[in-house]
Amino acid sequence: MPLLENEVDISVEFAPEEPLYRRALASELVDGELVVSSLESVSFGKEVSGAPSVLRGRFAKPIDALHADCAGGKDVSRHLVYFILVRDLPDVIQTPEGNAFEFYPLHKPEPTCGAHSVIASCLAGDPTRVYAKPSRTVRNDLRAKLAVRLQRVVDMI
Amino acid sequence: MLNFAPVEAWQPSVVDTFERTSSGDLLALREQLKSNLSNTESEFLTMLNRFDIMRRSLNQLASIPDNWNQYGSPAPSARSIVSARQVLDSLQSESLVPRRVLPSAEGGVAFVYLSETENRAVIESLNDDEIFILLYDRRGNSKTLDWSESRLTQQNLLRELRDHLRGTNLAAS
Repeated sequence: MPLLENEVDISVEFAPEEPLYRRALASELVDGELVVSSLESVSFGKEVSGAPSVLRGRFAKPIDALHADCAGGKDVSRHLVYFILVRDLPDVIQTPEGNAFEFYPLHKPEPTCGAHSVIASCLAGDPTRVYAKPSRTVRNDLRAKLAVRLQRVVDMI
Repeated sequence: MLNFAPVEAWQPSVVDTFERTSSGDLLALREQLKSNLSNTESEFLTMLNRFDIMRRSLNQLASIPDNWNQYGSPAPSARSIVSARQVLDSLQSESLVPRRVLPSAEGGVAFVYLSETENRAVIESLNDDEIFILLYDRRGNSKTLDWSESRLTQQNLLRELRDHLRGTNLAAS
């Protein structure tokens, strides 16, 4: 069972070796490969809560990603689980216009899914790390990097 | 009594004459040409068939619900599908058959391209009317090209897509 919101400590910093887990639909793979468009939820909303969702490994097992409590009550038991290490997240992506965006994991627990986190973004160098929605070029670059760096969890479940 | 007799299929009588009067080399050449023609027709029909499948898949995307991926992604809008259809027409005119058509996690439609090289690409027609080609490779390099209404620009974009899928180095382009 996934940990609940009141069972996790959000003050614990992310470790570079910490895995972040994500689901993917098997039917969305192309020739067995995770492609940019099949990478679920690699989208960004106006608020940080609209950033790509992951489960932080410090408070979750890979199988938690397949639990309805971490999927809004929906049955996701047939999905596949992928992971990326925190250290493998792209840190800064430059835009052609000269702006740069930083990416970092942000722990945002949900009531029934304490490990829920997002890949947040802000303008590079902003000490307050105010959420900023990246430009299309930057988002696409992030999606491409995630698509090739996410690895299938095979033996961990 | 009048009756209808269908036109008979082409008979190889002329070829038989040719076989009697031609050399071995010419016969071999004829067989090679026939084989080439047969392969060409087959590839062309296969391509048409694949585009037909893409169009049907595109129509099916109109019926998927919001939150189809349990991550909150919106269903493709009718507009994004109409735009995707126009993109598909352009792709067909350049014989660039996508490997798959999928809903995009960003909300919209995506045409996916893989290749024998490490290069990949998607063309996305999104619900917010954005259309772009995303070229990327297995090392994480990427390049976004905005789609255009101009036929000439489309041809240039699709030429770049074709070169990319043939293995042009993205970092160097």
